[in-house]
Amino acid sequence: MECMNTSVREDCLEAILTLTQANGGSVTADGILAAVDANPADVEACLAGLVAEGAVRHEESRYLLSPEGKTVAESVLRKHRVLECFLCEMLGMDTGTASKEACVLEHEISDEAIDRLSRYIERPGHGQRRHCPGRRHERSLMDFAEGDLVEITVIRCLHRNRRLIDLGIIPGEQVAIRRKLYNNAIVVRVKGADIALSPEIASTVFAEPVR
Amino acid sequence: MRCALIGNPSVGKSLIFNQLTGLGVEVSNYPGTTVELMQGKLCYGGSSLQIVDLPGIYSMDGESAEEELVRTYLLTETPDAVIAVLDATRMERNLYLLLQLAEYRIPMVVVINMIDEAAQQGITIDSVRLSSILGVPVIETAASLGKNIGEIVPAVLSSARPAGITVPYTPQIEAAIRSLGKLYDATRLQALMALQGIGTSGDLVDGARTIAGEIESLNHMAPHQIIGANRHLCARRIAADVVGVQEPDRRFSADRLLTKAIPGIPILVLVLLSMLLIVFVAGSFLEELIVEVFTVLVIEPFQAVPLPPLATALGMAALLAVVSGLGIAFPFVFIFYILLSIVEDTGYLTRAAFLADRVMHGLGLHGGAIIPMVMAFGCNVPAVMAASQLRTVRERTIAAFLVTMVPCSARTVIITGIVAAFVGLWAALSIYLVVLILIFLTGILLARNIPGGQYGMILEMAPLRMPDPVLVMKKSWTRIQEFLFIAMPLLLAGSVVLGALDYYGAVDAFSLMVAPLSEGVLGLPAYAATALLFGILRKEMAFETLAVLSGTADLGSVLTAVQLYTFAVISVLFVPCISTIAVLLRQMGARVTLAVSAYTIMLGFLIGGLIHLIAG
Repeated sequence: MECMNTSVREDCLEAILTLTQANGGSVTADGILAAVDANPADVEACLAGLVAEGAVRHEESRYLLSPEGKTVAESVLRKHRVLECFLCEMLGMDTGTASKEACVLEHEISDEAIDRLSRYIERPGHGQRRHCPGRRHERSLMDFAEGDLVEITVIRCLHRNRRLIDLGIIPGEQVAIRRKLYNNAIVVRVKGADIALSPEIASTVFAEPVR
Repeated sequence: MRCALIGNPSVGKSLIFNQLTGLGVEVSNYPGTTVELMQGKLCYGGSSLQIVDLPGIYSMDGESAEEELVRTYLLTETPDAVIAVLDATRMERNLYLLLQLAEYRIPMVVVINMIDEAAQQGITIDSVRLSSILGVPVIETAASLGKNIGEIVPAVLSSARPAGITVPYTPQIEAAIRSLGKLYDATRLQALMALQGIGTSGDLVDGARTIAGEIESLNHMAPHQIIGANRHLCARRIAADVVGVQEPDRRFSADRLLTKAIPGIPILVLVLLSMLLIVFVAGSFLEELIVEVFTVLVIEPFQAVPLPPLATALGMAALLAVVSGLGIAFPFVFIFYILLSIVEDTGYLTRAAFLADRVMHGLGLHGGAIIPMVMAFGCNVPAVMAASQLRTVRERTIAAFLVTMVPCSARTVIITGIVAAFVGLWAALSIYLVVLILIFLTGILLARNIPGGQYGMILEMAPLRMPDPVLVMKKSWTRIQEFLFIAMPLLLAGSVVLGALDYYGAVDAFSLMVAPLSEGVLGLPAYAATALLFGILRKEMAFETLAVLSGTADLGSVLTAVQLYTFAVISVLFVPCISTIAVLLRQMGARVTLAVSAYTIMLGFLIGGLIHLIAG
């Protein structure tokens, strides 16, 4: 059986990419099934199709992206982020709804439209605070190495983690990465204090390196 | 006059409180919460001063139980003065809280603590300048050396006054404060809180919500974010003014080892293991001593007194309960609490939380949950209370299950008294292993099946320092009081009831009833099942009851090694004791309590049955 549905196909690739980034490698069929919002039978068929056409490699019950698969997945993921950012930051939708909406739109929108939307969002005059996670150089705290000094640019879902503000982890603040464990739990030095963050918190804090 | 100590966590507040008040401290739970408040009295120059040590917090506007408590306390039971304690090594972050506190307009004295530590790190602080910026007295102290602590109370009595500093907010926030003031007659403080959704006046909060919505759509930032950023900026300016330029600290920090995966994790395992081992070895030694002394001095004389048989039976039951209660409380629970307080006060526990974050994620929790889990080795009751502070229902439910499965001191007594004594030390340790494996499996199972989001940990690493012995003892004593005053009476009552039942033959009848189940499935004599039942009252009672019912203290002569092992495993696993059930019910609700009890009963009998099947 072949996978006819492009959006499920793209969702699978996107899921493998995000899961690879989050778990550091081991992506299982269960993980993909949980992440893709579609009929499990379709998802499995799509996975088989992707493996057959070489976009995905299947090794010891793990799924890995081939270079071609990765290109497609990154493009879809970028579309998702730009759309989510636009819906959330500029149209004022709440994060959950914006993300769902982005999941639908990402499969139809053209590359040109996304490029233009992305440039439009970044255009000056829309406020300096608006750093969206769709930007090309966006890196979360997890993407830096021990010893790096970084400046925080944006924090997602801040309403859930008020304590970050109280500890001084706010946009514009310079923090040093003191320690990074193998699971990406990190310790940052902020205002003279060492703060430990779980990976899921660190992944919501975006930063730029300080030179 | 009433006076409250306020500050960030681990700024040395407790130490200052301790030095100000000495002994005679009263610990109480703030009504409706599990957060503890320490109160003490002192007399100075003819005036009496009542001091409250409020829990350490990061913000006056936060959502944690501690932060809400401090806010409510200051608003409803406004003290006559506050002592704001700052950490000299983290001035900027501490000033953030101070600026919030200043908005309450309560007369204030500022204490910059750990000035000795700051000096070692090459930090200089201009406290005269700070005093003139804030308009309140500023005292530099080093609580660990007792330096300048004596100046605090005179300053509070003579010159405490509201801080004369106002945080300049962005024009939109200032405008919102003015409109809320005009429309609802709100003070600056009330308006600021209402903009962040805090407050009791419905109209004000509703009105503020509309304004907050407008501010958010204009700035793409929620008011609390803007307010927070403004305060941080203000704190930074003040810090730049009063804190000297700092040389980078190049001294060796133990964190280079402690928070690295290698050797951090082996060290963590070693620390936890040695804590258990110390409790295990020192506990059993001391317990024997206590029991022996008590037997010679109290029980034997009591047996020599001619009394009616019922009185002798009941008296003996009560005395046995007291012996075993004391035999657990001091050797096991108290030693564990001392060790726990040491680990906590050195700041190591926060490192442990960071290292354990990954493993705990596998169990559906995060690093912060290691604290209740470790506490549970002492007694499950305070551990359940700590677990109920976790943020989501999912985390709380999982933690409730796991915490109640952790072998507490009372269960350690069963393991040492039955297995280590009659089967062997390795067999005893293997029970811990079995239980730990079951805890992990349960956690993995629950993490997969309980829906809900997962929050991560945001935890400040407490600075590493030498614990203060007096403070450690005081903390351990406060903690053990819970055991003595909640658990001991239950233990006593339970024992007397058991004694009476035994006297009237009810226990024998029950034994006959459960005999088929007990002997057939578990391979245990019927009276052992009765003993297990009494273990619900208080875990270690399973052990004593077994000794009482079997008619000898030398259990090895009446039961085989496998039977003893099975008995110990079941009583360690099944049903938390009655005090734990009570606190589960209060903190987590009936459903979770019922689920935990049913699950642990099932698990206990399942594993017991398995052992019988394999080895029996």
